[in-house]
Amino acid sequence: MTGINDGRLRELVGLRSALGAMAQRLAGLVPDLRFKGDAEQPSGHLGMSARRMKSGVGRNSQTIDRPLMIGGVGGVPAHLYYYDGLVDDAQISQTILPALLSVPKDVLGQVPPADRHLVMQAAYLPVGSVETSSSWSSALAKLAAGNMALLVEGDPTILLVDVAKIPHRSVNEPETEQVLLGPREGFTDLLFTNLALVRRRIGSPSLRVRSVTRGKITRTEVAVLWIEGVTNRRLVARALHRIRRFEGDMFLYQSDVRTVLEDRPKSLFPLVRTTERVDEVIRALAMGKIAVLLDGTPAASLVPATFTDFYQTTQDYVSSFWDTSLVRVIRAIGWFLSLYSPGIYVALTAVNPDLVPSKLLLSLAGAHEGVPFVPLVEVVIMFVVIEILREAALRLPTSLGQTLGTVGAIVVGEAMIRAGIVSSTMIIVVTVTALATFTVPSFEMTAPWRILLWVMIASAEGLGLAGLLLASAVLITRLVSLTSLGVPYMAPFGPLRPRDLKDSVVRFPVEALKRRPSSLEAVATAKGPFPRPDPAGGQA
Amino acid sequence: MRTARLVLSLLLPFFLSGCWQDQPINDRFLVFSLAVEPGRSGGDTLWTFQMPTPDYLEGFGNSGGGSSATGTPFFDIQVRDGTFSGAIVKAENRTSRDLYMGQLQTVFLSTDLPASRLRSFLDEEGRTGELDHTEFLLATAGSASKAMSTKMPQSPLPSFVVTEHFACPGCAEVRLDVPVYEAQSAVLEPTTDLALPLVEPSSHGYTIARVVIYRDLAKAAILSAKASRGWAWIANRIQKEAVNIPMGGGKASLRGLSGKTSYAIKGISRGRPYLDISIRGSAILSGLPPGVSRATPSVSKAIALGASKAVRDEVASAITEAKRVGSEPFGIGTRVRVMAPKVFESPASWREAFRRLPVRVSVHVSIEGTGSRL
Repeated sequence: MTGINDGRLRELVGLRSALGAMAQRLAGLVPDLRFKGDAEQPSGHLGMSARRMKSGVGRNSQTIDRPLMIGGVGGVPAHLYYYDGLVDDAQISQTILPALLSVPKDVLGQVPPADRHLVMQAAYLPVGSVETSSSWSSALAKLAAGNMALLVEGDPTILLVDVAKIPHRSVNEPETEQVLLGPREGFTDLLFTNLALVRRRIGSPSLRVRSVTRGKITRTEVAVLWIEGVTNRRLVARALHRIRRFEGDMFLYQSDVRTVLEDRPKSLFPLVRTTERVDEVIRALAMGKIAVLLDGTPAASLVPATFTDFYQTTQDYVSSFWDTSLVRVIRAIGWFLSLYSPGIYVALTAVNPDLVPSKLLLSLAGAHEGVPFVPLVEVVIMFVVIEILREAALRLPTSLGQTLGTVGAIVVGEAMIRAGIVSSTMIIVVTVTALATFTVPSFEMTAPWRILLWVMIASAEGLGLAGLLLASAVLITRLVSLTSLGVPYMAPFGPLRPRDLKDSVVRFPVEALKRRPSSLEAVATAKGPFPRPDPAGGQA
Repeated sequence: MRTARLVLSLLLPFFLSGCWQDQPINDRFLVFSLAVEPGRSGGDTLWTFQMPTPDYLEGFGNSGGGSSATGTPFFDIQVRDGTFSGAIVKAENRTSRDLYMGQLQTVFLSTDLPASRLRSFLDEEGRTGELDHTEFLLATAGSASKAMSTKMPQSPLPSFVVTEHFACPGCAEVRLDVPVYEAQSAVLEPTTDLALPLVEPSSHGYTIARVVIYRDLAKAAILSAKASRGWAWIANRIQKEAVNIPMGGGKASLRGLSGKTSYAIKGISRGRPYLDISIRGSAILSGLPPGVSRATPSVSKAIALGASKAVRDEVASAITEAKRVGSEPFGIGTRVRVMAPKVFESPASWREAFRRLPVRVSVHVSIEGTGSRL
C-alpha cells in the first residue's frame, strides 16, 4: 500500500459499501416502479399503488394527482387521478369530491378493505358510468380516454369514473361532399359521437358494432359496423381479420384503415371508399357493406368498394332518376375528357393529324404557328403549372385559394399565349381537362386519373391514338383484375351483371332497384325492412 | 420478365408498322391540293403542291375559323420528277419544313397526262402510308396547276370548295365525286374505265358539270353536259336532278328527280343478247307549262312521260358517246358478266362486247307530288 493515502482508501471502501447498499435498495424498488402491463395487479397498498400510477403515466404535467380522505378528516386515504383537459372539472369538484368527502366514516369501516370499491360504486359516486379494473394497463388506457381513477387504501381494485369531457367539433356538413336538399350530417372526430350518429339513423337492432383497439402507441379504437342478416358474414370476418392483423405503433388515419383493408395496398386505385357523410354510411350498410370508423377521424371507410361507388353520391339518390342519369352521363364524359383530352391533343397534333377534319387542323396548326415547343412540351408545361396552382391553392385560405386559382388560370394562361410559349388551343385543352377532373365526386379517385393522365400523354406521344388504345387496354385489364375485400372492383361491368347495371352509368327509378348488388353476395338480396336480428348475436 | 415480354409483344406491331411517326403539325407544311400534269420535257411530270402559308394559318388559328385570316392564303411548290415519291422529296428539299400529305384533299389531273404516268401516280399513291386515299380526283383540260389555283369566292383555299361540295352527298344534283380509292379500284377492274369530273373555268371560279371518260387511263372523251347526266344515271349518281320538259310552247319543270338504275342481259335464249337498262325514278312537280293552271292526272302523266323521255335521251347520249370512243366508264361490265358468264367469257373482251351490244333503255318517272305538297 506504499504510496497510497490511507485516508483516501478508507473513504473509497466506505463509498463502495454505501453504493452496494443503494443498489440493493434500488433493486427492491424496481418491481414496484416497473410497469408490467396486465400481468401486474394493484396490491391494495395505497403508497405503492400511487407510485405505480406515477410510473405508468410518467412525468406528465397534464396528470392531476389529488390525495384525499374519503369521509373527511380521519377517513380512508385515497388518490384521484385524471388528465387535465380530458375531464369535466366541474363535475369532479362539484359532484364527485363532495360526495367522497361526505361518506360516513363508519360505512367503509364495516366492509373489508378489499370490498370498499363495491360500496363506493354502489352508493357514493353519483356518475352514470363507473367501472372497476384490476389491471394497470386497462386502467391507464381508460385514464387516457378521459376517465378518473380512484385508488382507495386497502382496496386492490381501481375505480374508473367516466367524467370525460373531450373537446371536439360539432356535427357539420362535410365540405367535400355537399348536397342539395339532402341530409347535412357529417362525422366528427369522436368515435362515440359518430357511432351515435349512425345508430340514430338505423332504428333496427340488426346494426352490429365490433370495436377493436389497434396501434401499440396510439391504442386507437376502431369500430367495425355491419347489418346482421344483410351483410355477408365472410366479408365481416375478412375485414375484422385484416384489422386485427395490424401490429404497428400508430393507427391514426383512415389511410391506415385503407391500407389494412385493401386487397392490394399498392394499387393506384382506391379499393376502399371513404366518406364523411353519415347517410352514405347508412346506405352502404343497408346495401350489405361494412363501415369502419376510427376514433379521431371524421370519416368512415366503406368496403367492399367498387369502381362505380366512387362515382355515386348522395345527390344521386336525392334527385330524380332522370336528373341523376343525366349527371352520371356527364360525369362519364368528364372522366373521359379528364383522362384523354391532353393525350388526344398530342396524338392528333403530332402523330395522327390525318384524322383531324381539315378546318380543325388548320385551326390547330394556326394556333401552333410561332409556338417554339412541340405539343408534348406544351402539355407538360401547362400541367405542371396547373399542379402548382392546385397545390398552392390547397395551402391558402379558401377565399384566397379560389382567387389564386382563377387569377392563375386566366393571367398565367393569357400571358403564356401572348409570350408564345403555348398555343391557345392548349389552354382550352388544359382548362377542359382541369374542369373535367372535378366532375369526379370522390376525392380519392381523382389522384389515379391525374397520374394516369401522364401515362396517356406519354402513350399518345409515342404511338398516337394507337398508343392511347394500348394504354387503355392495359388500364382496363388492370381494373378488372382488382378486387375489394374479394368483390370484383369493376362489378357490375366486369364480370357483367346486367341486373346491377340499373344503378351504374344511369340510375333506374327506385322501384326498379329492388335487389342489392349481387357482387356483394348479401345474405338478404332483396331490399326491404331489415331482417330480424340473429339470436346468435353478431359473432363474426 | 413475363410482363416485359408481354409489353414488348404488344408494342412490336406498332414499331414494325411505323405508327409512331411523330412530327408536330407546326413543323410541317400541310398539303391540301396537288396538280399533276405532263412536264415540258418528254419523261417528266410536273407536280404542283399547294399548301396554306404560315401567315394565313396563324390568322386562321387566332381568329377561330379564319374570319380574320389575312395575307396570301396559299403558296405552290412546283417540281419535276418522274415519280410521286421523288416529287415529294424534291419539294421538301425546297422548303423549310417537311410536307404533310395526310390532309391532301384534291388532286387535279391534266387530261393530257399520259396513261402510264397516271397509272404510276395511282399506284404510288396507294402505297403511300401517310395518305388516307380519300382525296378527290379532278380532271382539267388546260393547266392543272392553274386550275388548282383558281380563286374561288367561297373560300380562300380552293380545295375547300371542292371538298365541301363533294363531302355533302345530298347537296348536289349529281354526285360527281371520285375519291382516289375509287379510281384505283376502277384501274384494277378490267371491265371498267375511269371517269373523272371535269373542272372548267367560269366567271365564278370554276364549275364542275361534265365528265371526262378514259380508255385504258388515257383520255377518251369529254362528255357533254347531257351525256354526263346520262353517265350519272347509269352509275346511280343522280340524287335530285332538276329537269325542264318542253311542253306547249313553254316548259314544265320537275325537281328532286332521283331514281334507281338496274341492268339485265336479255335475249340470250334467242341468241341476240342485249343490255337492258331500266330506270325507275320519281320527282316533284314544281312548274306547269304556260296555259295550264292545274296539275290534273293527264297533265301529270304528260309531264312524267316528258321527264322519262328526257332521262332516256341523257342515258342514250352517254352510251352513244362511250361506245364511240370505245370506253366503258359505267361499271356495268362486272355485274353483266355475273349475269351472263357464258356470253361474256373474257373480261378483256367486255369493252369490245359492250361496243357491239345493243342497249335498250326504259325509263319510268312518276310524279310523287307537287311543290306545295311534299
